[in-house]
Amino acid sequence: MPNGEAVIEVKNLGRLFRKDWALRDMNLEIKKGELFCIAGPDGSGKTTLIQSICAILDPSTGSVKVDGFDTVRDASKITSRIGYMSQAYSLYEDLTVEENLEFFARIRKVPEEVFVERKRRLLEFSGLHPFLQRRTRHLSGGMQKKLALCCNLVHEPDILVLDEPTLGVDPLSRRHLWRMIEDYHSKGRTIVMSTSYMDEAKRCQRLAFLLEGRLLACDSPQAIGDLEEVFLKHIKRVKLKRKPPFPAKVSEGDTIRVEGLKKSFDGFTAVDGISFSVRRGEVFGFVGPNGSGKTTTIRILCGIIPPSGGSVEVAGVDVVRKPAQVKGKIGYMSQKFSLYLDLTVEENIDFFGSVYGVGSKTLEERKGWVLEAAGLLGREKTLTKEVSGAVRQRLALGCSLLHSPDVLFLDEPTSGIDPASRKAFWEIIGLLAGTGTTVFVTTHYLSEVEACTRVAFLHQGRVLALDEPARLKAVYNTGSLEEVFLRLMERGA
Amino acid sequence: MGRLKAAIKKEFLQFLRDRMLILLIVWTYTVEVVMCTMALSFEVKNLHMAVYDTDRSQWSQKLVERFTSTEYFTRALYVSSLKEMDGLLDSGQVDMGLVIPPDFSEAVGKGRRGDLQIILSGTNSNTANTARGYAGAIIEGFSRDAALESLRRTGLRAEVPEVEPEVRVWYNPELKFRYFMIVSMIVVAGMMIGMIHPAATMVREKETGTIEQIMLTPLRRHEVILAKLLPTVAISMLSLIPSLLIASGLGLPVKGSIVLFFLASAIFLFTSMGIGVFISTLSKNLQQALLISFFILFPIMFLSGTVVPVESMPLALQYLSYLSPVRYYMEIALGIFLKGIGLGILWPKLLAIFLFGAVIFPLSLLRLKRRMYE
Amino acid sequence: MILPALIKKEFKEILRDPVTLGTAILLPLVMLFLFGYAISLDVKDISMAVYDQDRSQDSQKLIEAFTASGYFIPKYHLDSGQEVNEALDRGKAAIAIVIPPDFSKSINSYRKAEVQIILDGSFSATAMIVSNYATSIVNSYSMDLMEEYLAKKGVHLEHPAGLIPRVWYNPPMKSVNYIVPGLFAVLLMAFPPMLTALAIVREKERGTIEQVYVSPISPPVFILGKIIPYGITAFGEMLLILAVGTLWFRIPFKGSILLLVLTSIIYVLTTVGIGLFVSTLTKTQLGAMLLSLIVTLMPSFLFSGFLFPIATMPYMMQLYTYFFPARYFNDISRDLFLKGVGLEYLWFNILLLVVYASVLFVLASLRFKKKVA
Repeated sequence: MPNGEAVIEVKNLGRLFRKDWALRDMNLEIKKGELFCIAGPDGSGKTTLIQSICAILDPSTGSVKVDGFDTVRDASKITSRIGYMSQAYSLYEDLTVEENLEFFARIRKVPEEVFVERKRRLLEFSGLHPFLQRRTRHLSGGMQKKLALCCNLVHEPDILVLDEPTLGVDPLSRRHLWRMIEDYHSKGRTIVMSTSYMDEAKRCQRLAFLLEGRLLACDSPQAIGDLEEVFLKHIKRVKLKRKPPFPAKVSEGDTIRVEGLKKSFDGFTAVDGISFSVRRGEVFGFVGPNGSGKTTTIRILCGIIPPSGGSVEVAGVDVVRKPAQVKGKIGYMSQKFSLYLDLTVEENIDFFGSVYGVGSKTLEERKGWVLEAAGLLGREKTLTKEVSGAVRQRLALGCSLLHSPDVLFLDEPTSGIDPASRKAFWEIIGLLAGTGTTVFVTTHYLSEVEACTRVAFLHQGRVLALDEPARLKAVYNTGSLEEVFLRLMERGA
Repeated sequence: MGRLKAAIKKEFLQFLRDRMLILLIVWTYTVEVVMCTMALSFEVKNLHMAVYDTDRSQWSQKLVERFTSTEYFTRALYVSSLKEMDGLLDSGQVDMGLVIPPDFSEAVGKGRRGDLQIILSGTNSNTANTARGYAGAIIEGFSRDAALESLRRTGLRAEVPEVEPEVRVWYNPELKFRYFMIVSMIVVAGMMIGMIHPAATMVREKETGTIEQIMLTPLRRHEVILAKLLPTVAISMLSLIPSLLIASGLGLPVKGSIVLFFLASAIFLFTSMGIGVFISTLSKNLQQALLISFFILFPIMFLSGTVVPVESMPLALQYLSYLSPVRYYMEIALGIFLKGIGLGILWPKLLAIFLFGAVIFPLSLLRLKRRMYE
Repeated sequence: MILPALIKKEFKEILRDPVTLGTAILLPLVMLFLFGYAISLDVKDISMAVYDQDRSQDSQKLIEAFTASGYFIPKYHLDSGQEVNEALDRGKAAIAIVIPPDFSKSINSYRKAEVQIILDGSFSATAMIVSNYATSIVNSYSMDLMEEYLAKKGVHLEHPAGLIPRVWYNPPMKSVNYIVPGLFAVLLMAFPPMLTALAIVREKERGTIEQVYVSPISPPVFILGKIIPYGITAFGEMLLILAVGTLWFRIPFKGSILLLVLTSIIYVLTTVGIGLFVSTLTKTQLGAMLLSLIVTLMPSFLFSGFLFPIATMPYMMQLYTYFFPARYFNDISRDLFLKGVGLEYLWFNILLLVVYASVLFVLASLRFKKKVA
C-alpha cells in the first residue's frame, strides 16, 4: 500500500458505555505514513477511539478498518500489525529493562539476531543502556515511558498507536521521546497519538479534535489555527473573578526558609543539600526532571517525612523539630487526587473544613467559593467519582484551601489535564496569591511556570538555578523556559 | 462540627455507601451462621455396621439388636465372609465391622468369656474413637445383663454388689453440636470483620493518598483510628441482633446475661480491630493487607477453640492460645450462653481481652507514626 | 516460541515478588503445622474433678480405675457440690465424679450403688467420647466387683462378652493421620487459585494485559502461559506438603504414589482453573481475592469433609458439597494415604475431577476475550 492511502478508516463509529456515548458518529481516515494526533479535553473519547483502532474495543455502532481489516472480525490480523502504548505504563514492574524488552520481542516473534541488533540500537538511542539490569519499578517515570516505547518499537510495527505517551514526563524525557517518535516516523511508519500538549499537537501532520465524543475538526494544525484558542472556545469555562473569602494575610518577609536540606533513602540521596527561601504571597515554581527530588522536598516541607539533615522553617514553624505544629497552617495537594471518591462533593468539602476546625459560618462562605471555583455549583450532591478529572482537581485544590492556609503546596496539580482546564486552575492560583497565600508548585508544563514569581530548577537533588522567569530567560538568552530547562539539564547531567 | 465528629460522620457516610460491604457483614452474621450450624457437626450418629455372625444364635441376635436399638448404629449389614467385610470397609460403606465368634452363645450361656471383635475404620479418627466408645459401652452393658441372667440360672440369689453410673451432662444435656457451632460462628464472624474491615479501610486511604491529606489536618492519629472503628463496631453490634434471633430459633439457650454478652462483644470488636489496624500499618497495599490478615487470622482462629477445644491441643499450643483474645471471647460466649455464668467468673477473661486491645492500639499508633516517616 | 517466553516471564515475576512467594510456600507450611498440631479431637488427659463423699477403700479403687484407664487425670479433689459447680463453670474440669457417702456401704450390703458422672457438654463431640469412657470404666468396675463376690461364693463367672477392638487404616487413631491427608485438598485449593487469579487481574490493573491483547498471543496460549507456571508452583507446594506430612508428621502412606501424583496433577489443574475462571469475573485484585476466598478457601475448609464429616450433613448440604472439587480430592487422598485402595474405588472421584477441570477450562477460554470492554 503506497504512502498517502488511508490505512485506518473509521466509519460512523459509536461506542456506548452503560448509558453514555463515549464516541458518536465518528468518521475519520488516517493515511499511511502519517503522524496523526488526537486531541481533546478530558473525557472527550480519545482513549476510546485509540482502543477501537487497536481492535481491543468493539464498536457499538459503525466500524473501524485497519489496513483493510475489520477490528471485530479480523482483530488478530490487526494486532499483529500494530504497536500500542497505553496510558498505563504497560510494563512488568518486577522484570528488568532487558527482560521487558526481550519479553515483548519474544511474544512478537522477533528473530534472535534481529532482536539483538534492535535492542542495541534502541537502548543506545533512548539512553536506557546504563539501566539494563535495573528492575522497571525502580526507573523514573520518564524512563519507564521510554522503555514502554522501546518495547513497542522492538517489533517494528507498521502502525504505532500511542495514548498520551508524554503524560507526566519531564521536558527532557519528553524531548527524548519525541526524538524516538520522529525517528520512527521518518522511516515511513504510520503513527497515531493522543496528547494534552499543544506544542506536540502542532508537530503532527494532521489533527483530530474531539469534544464530548464527537469529531469537532480534522485537519492540519495550520488549518485549525491556534489550538489553545480552539480549546478555550469550545470548553465551558468558569470565569471566577471573586477572590477567596480569606482574611488578609501579612505579606512581608519569608514564609519558607530551607537551609542545607538533605534526604537519603537507603544510601540513595534524593535531596542533596538545597537552600532557598520563599517570600510571602509568592507563587514559587519548583521544576525538575522525574526523580530529581521535588516530591521528596515537598513532603519534608509539609512535615510528612523528616529530613536527613538541614533546617526547614515553614510559616514560622521549625518543621524538623515540630512537624505537628505546621499542620493547619499549610495546605497540600498531592499528585494523586486526595479526595474521597465515595463521598459527595459537598461531603468532601464539609469533611475537610470541619477537621481543620473551620467554623460552620465561615465554612458556608468558603464552600460557596470553592464550588464556584470548581464549577460545581448545583452539583453539590454528586458523588465525587462521577466528576471529571479536571473538575476533581479543582475541587481537591479547594478542599486544601478551606482553612485559609499560609502556604499551599501543589505537587504536579495539572498533570494530564487539557489546556483550558489548566488555565482555569492557574487563574485560581493567581487569585490565591492575591490574598497573600504563598503557593509552592511543581509542574512539568513549563508554560505554566511563566506565571510564577520565581522558579527553582532542580536536578539530582540540587538546585541548579533560581530566579524570576524573565531574568532566567535573559541570562540564557532564549524566549522559552523550556529551553532554559533543557540547557540546564544538559549542563547538569 | 468538631473535628472528631466530622471524621466519624465521614466514616459512616463512606461505610453506608458501600452496600456490598454491609451485605457481606450481615451475610456473615446470619446466612453463614445458619448454613454452618445446620451442616457442620462432629456428631457421630447413624453409623453403619457390618456384622459377620458365625454363631447365628439368639445371643448373637440379641447383641446386634442392642447395637441397632441405639441412635448411633442405625444399620447392620450381615456379611458372609471377612473378605466381604473388608470390601465394605474399604469402600467406606460401613464404619465398623462386628465379628461374632462361633462359640459365642455357648460361652455366654456357660458364663465363660466369648471374645467379640470390632473392626473400626480409623480414617476419621474422631468417628472411630466415638464408635469404639459406643461399642464398648454397649458390650459392657450386654455382658452385665448376660452375667446376671446366667447367675439367676445357677439358682443363686440375684443379690450382687453393683455400681451404676448415672451420667449427667451439664450445659448441653442433649449433647447437641449445634450450640457450639452457633457460638463459634458468631465469634469467628466478629473476629473476621473486626480484623479485615479496619485493615482494608486504612490501607485504602493509603492507596488513594488521602492518608497524607489526613495526616496534615489537625486530626490526631488516635482520632483517625477511632473514627474508623466506630462504624464497624456499630454494624457488627447491630448484626448481632438478627444473629442471636436466628441462634435462639435454632434452639441456642441463653442462660446468662445478654447484656454482658453485648458488652464483651464490644470490647472484643475493639480489640480485634486493633489487630486490623496493626496489620494495616504493616502493609503497603490491599493485597498485602489481606494476605497478612490470612497469616494472622488462621492461626488465631484455630488456636482459640473455635474449631476444636483448646484442651485437645498439645500443651505448647495451649499456652500459646493464651495470647489470643479470641480464646477468651469464645470462653465468654460459651459461658454466657450454655453455662449461664456471670461477670463473677468471667471478669478475668474480659480483662484479658481488654488488655490485649490496650497493648495493640498504642503499638499501632506508634507504627502508624513511623510509617508516615518512611 | 511465545509460550516459553510467557512461562519464563511468569516465573521471574513469582520469584521476585516476596509476598506471592511467601503466600505460595510459607502460608501452606504454616497452615500445615497449625492443622497438624492444633486440630485434634483426640481425647486424653481429661481433667477430672472428684467429690468423694465416701472416702473408703472402694471409692479409692473406683478413682484408681479412672486413673488407670490413661484417659483421666483426677486434678481436683473437692469437698462440696458448690466446688463441683465451680470447677465445671470455670472450665477447670471437663468431668466430675461424685461418689455418694453410702457408696461402700451399699456395695457391701449388695445394694446398687450409684455414682454420679457430671460432664461439660458444651463441646459435644468430645463430651460424647468422654461419657462413653467413663461409663465403660464404671461398668467394668461393677463387673469386677461382681466376679470377686461370686468367686468368694465359689461361682466362677467371666465377662461373657469380651471386646477386642481393632482399628484399621489408622490404628493409633491419631487425628493427625486424618487431618494431614485432607490438608492437600484444602491447601491446594486455598492458595493456587488465588495466586493465579491475582496474577491475571494484576495484569488488568497495571494495564500490561492491553499489550497482550494487541499482541499475537492467542487466548489458549495466554491461558496456558498462566496455568503452567502456577500449576508447577502448586505442584511444588503439594510435594512440600507431602514431604513434611510423611517425614515430619510420619503419616503412613499405603497407596500408590504414582496414583497420588497423577490425581494431584489433575487436582492442581482444577484449582488453577478455578483461579482462571475467577479472574474473568473481576477486574480488581481485591475482588479477585475475596471471590477466591468465597469460592475456594471457605468451602474447601468447611464443606469438603476435611474436618466436618459430610455424612452427618443434611441431604441438601451434602449435594452442595459436590460443587467443590476439594471434596473429591479429599476422598482420594485419604483413601490413598490411609486405606491404600486403588483405582477400582477411586475412579468415580477422579472422573468428577477431570470433568470439573475440563468444564472450567472451556468456560475460562470462552470468557477470556482480547478486548478491554
